[in-house]
Amino acid sequence: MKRQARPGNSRGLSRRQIIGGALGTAAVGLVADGWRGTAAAAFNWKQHAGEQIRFIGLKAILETFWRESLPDFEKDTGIKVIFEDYEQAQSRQKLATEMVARTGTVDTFRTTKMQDFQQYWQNGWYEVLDPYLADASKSHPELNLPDFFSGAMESCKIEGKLVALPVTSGAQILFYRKDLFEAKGLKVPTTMEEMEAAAKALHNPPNVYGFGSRGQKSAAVSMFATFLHNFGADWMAGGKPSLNTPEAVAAYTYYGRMLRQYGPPGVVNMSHVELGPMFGEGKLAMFADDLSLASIYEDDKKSKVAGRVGYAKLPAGSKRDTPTIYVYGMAMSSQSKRKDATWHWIQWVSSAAVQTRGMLKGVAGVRASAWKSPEFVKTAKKDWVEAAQITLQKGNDEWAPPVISVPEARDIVGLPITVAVEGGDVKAACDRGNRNLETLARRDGVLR
Amino acid sequence: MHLRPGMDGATRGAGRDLSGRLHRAAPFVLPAPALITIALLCAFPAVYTLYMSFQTWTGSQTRSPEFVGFLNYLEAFRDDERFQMAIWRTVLYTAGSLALQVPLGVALAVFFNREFSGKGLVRTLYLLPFVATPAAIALVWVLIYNPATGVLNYLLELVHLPKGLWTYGADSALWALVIVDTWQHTPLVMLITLAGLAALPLDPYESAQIDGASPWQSFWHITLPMLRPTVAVAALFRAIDALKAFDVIFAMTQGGPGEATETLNIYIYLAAFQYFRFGYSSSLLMLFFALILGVCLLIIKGRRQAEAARG
Repeated sequence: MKRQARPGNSRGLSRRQIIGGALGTAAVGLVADGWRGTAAAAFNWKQHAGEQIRFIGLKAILETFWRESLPDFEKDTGIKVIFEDYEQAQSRQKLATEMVARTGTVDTFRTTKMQDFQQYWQNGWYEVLDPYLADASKSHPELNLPDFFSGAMESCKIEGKLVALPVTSGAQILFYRKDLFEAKGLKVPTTMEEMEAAAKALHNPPNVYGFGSRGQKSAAVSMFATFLHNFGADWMAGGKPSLNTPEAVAAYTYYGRMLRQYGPPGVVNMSHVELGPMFGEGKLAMFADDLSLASIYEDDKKSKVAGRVGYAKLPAGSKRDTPTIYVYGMAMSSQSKRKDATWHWIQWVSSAAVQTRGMLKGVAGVRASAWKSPEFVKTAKKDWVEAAQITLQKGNDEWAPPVISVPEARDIVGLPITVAVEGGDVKAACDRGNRNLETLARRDGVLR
Repeated sequence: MHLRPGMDGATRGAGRDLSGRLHRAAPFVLPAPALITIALLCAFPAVYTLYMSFQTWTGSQTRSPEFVGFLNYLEAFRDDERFQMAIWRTVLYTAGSLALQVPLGVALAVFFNREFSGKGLVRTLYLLPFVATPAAIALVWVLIYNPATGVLNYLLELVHLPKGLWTYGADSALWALVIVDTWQHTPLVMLITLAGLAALPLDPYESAQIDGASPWQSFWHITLPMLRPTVAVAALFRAIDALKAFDVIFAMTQGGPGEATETLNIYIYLAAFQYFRFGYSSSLLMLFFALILGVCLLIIKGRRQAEAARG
């Protein structure tokens, strides 16, 4: 096969080589796949060179990885990306404000089912991607849709229509300090009781705190979901909120107690932004958060605990064993004025080459080829891969209440977390949360 | 023709002379561009908010706003516990801020009203908090307030005083924010009061001295009563600002921990830009506006009564 410009492997090519390469690809694609129609206008990575698109994202390992990859994207396609990332809540507010104002200044953003789909779909903000996939002149022949995990593809569809291409699946795992565990002769916890005992044994303020996890009202909801489910509770059951069942109250109480007694001071205001670096500095014995943070911890230059970190699936509860996962996809704004250039970006960022490189940076990919890539298999830590795979397998992606007004719901169900961490009356807070969630669900029209 | 004393050109050319007409129209024509701009910039958003308060809309581009009458207002009073708590917190925040800033500002103004070496420099330094940008203030104070690594707890520990959770604890967060607001805005009260002090007449003080009054008695019985209108103005400015406080609170706690620092302005912002409830947040804004107007009228009335009592 001729050398051609591919993501992650860009070299300076002459125009003839590029056009020749593109035609060659198209020809091979026609012959090999046979599902493309007449390639009247052949796909060319550089067909939108000189254009500019704007991305709004969150502050996370994923965005760090993409930002580092931008020079490659520009080399491959000639498209410039204005890349903006903000804290979670602020990012969503900014995106929403610009979409409501219909300025058409946002082209692309990353999106996830539980948080965004209902609201954004209702507001008509997603551009449906199926027509782009079907258009041979717009889509790279080696997009290779079957390479995506089927669950991930399904998570990016609303009413059967594709609104995003999956780029990563987050999973909540347990990070722990192997050296501290060994020193005290502790095994990796597999139940909630064992985790509490380990936290107690290792809690040694102010040098090391036993357990860390998000405590900030809204950010904590996705991390708390595992505990809620493992204790046998759900946000809503039978179409009605179920925040004040004994199991739910037990889950809130446990999570609050763990943070209050074994967490760092001020944890009630912290999310992964503060806690992530704390673990990297060696101040936490255990930390429950997204698996992509591993890339910081294994880097000598960024963390003090490189080589001493273990990875495990979160412990099972008394009733269930369903850790939290969430698929993120790259979506296109329906108001974008540069839709074709944006489609290039979406394809590029979800391509096999980019996802494979992402695996090496701790970004869990959603393509089978990425997980099997030889370089990844060689360098990845075994327990990280194991923890990731078993979590993705058993995972439950209902990490927020299944309503339309998710941001408001997150605040409602996150409030009892704050109360629990501060040692207040959890049952009363859960009752109040349940009432408010019911009002919200009724307003959204999802209450049964 | 000559102008006789008592006569000006306009009388001569009354109604017939172009320049006379222009001269009379000038007070209306010249400010017109500015007035129209202000009217558009202020009136339009106000009217639009009032209009939106009777609708429900999620920012959708496929579904336009839907008229719901007074439903939003009803929901605010009947169902929305969070709204009612937010009003209470706003009132607490404003009362706490005023209670600290007004006495402190007046005291500082009296202190700086004397002559002493280095007065100019010290006064400038005291003004700096008011000049600093709110976002920078918020970020620095968040660091100062950090229970584990912040400098405040460190200093308290050095002098054997109890440490606190400040903005990281639900009980103390609102008061921690009041402290930041006081640090930031007391200089404004001081400035306004200094101006008032400069305008005070000297005669009453001379008579008091002749009558043998002590400095404290002069201050309490002469200065303060005469300063009351000035202090009322300062209190009015601070009250309006404190009721509407947003930037520092949002940057420091975003209304947290939990809802401990969620004042009305913060809640309305969340309702609009995080929950996409544009109609509902508009109705809350109208209620908020009524609250601010009410507090202003109270203060103005209080000042008028004080002035009337003084005679």
